[in-house]
Amino acid sequence: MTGDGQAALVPAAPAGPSLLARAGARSGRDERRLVREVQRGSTEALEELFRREWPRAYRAAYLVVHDAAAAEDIAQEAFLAAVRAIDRFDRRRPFGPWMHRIVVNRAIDVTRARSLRREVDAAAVESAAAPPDPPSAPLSSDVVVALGDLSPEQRAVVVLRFVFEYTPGEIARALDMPRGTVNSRLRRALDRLGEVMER
Amino acid sequence: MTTIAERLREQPLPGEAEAAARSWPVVEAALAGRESAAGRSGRHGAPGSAVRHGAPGSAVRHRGRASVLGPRRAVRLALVCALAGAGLVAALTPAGAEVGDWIGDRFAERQDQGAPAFVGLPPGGSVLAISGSGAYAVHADGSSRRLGSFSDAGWSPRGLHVVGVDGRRVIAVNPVGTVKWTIARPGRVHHPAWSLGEGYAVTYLEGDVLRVVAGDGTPATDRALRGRAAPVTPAWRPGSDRILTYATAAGAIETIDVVTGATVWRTSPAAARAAPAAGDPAAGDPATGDLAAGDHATRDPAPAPTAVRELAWTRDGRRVVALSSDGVTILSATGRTLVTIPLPGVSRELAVHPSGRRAAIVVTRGGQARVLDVRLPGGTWQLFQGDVHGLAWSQDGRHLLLAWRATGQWLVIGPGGRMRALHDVSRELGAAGGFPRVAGWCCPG
Repeated sequence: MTGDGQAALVPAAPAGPSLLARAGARSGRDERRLVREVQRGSTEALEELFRREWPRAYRAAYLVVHDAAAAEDIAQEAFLAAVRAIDRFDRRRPFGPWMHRIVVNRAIDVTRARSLRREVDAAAVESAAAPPDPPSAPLSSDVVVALGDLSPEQRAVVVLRFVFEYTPGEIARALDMPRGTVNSRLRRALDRLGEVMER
Repeated sequence: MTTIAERLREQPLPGEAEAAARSWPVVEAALAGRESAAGRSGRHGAPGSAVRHGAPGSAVRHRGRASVLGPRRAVRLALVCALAGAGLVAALTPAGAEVGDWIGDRFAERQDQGAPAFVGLPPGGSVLAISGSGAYAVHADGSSRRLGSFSDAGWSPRGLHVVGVDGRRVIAVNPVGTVKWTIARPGRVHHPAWSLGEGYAVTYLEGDVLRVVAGDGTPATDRALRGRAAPVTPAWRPGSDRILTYATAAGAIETIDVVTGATVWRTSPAAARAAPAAGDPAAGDPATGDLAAGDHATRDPAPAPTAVRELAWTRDGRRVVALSSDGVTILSATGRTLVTIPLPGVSRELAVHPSGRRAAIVVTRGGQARVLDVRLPGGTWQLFQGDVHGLAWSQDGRHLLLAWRATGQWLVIGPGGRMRALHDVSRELGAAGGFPRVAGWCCPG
């Protein structure tokens, strides 16, 4: 994905207004200007980027990890990584997708890590294993709840496809997986989500 | 599909605005810190240069593949190998390489950017760090301040002061290091602790004598409480300026009322283990710390755990947690042993979670150190493997801070095992006296 090719990658705009329209709906030139100003140390420009990208970063993280506290950490960490690397950032590339990749990959790692904590073999420990901490906040949307039944990788694919409107090819590059894998995960995820929608 | 997309995009999510409000100051501080570092180094980096994701010569590791390395990247690989050699726990990520990848990325960025190490501490509190060259307060905005030449120190209950010890002096300072008062003693002083009520008292050890002084340092209030105390930091009962628990040199645990000097309860190393009572009501009035009448030393004394190394009360004031070399013991507020949890290895450091339901404990076995997540009353998980030199929970209990001596880093473990590394801690603090250990994490401003 490059800024020059951005117009060709933007799908048809969805019906109705959306807070999460792709960066192509805003001027890529404007984003490049903001990045340049941040590189020069402008707090105002960084605040503008933060205002624009935080909702999407938090939403992407939340939809993958289903935990508000973890989503906050992940989104915050992505912005910190962006600030640390801002001097090396190529302004010809769109800033938003770069952030999305960081957020989604970190969110996958967090979700995987939760399932891999193991109990130490301590001698003479009689108590049953303590349950894991519950998710920090309930979800009200059936589709969002159903997302929690998917694997972390499936959630990430769904988020990139339907929240950020990435093409399967872009998703494959963002998550470093074969395009066929992206397509199969999308199909399985949509089958599951479709079942929920039909209830 | 449109409906799915709309729902995913438009569904209000809990905590988003609040999270943004908490995160913006951290992000803003990161930019400010970058500017400060650039000023020191005289460079900003090359504007418009590419982010090196997989470019030739890049050390960025894609999943399952290593890339060609240059000289600087060889240092990064050495770090990642050191992490693998230290037995970085694969359970934190699907493969240990993922954590190494992430930490390695941070290392590479750190080398390029010179960003302050402490930007990235979670908001809502300040960390107390102690090295051979003194004590430091480290704040979430990335700033730090040397407080004094303290060999040990502790926060006051709301983080408005720090009490430290320096040779034969007990010294109270504010968070920028301004001395508020000093107590000079004939003997060496150590293991200070500020009371957890209104901060009206400070305890410390002079040799093996347990002493207490008023929180404002009034010399006339400084007095001895007990002799033959073990070199373990005493633990104040939360919400109280009177009830203090300490370990005796004989291996007992005693709780005393520092105002009257009376023993509230005391365990006995020699007595048989007492049968648990049918119920265990919390003793006394949590608001004042006073105990219910008759509710102490007349009970059958339970045996103390062997060789107490650390003591702590749970935040609700209902339990005492005693770490010994071979396990952790939970006692009721009246000194009755509730459960003893053996641990695999030699236990040496303890941090009780604010909920009181779990604790992070450092154990060593076979030369390997690990951090265990111990659920109270039972259940143990491994959090981390590596030589940790101090650990502390954030006040909200969402993060655990580990001082990882082998790599000179502090690690912040967040929800779901998410880890963030803070680099070059010694250099950032200007701590010439060695790697700073974490001695406390206090309090939201």
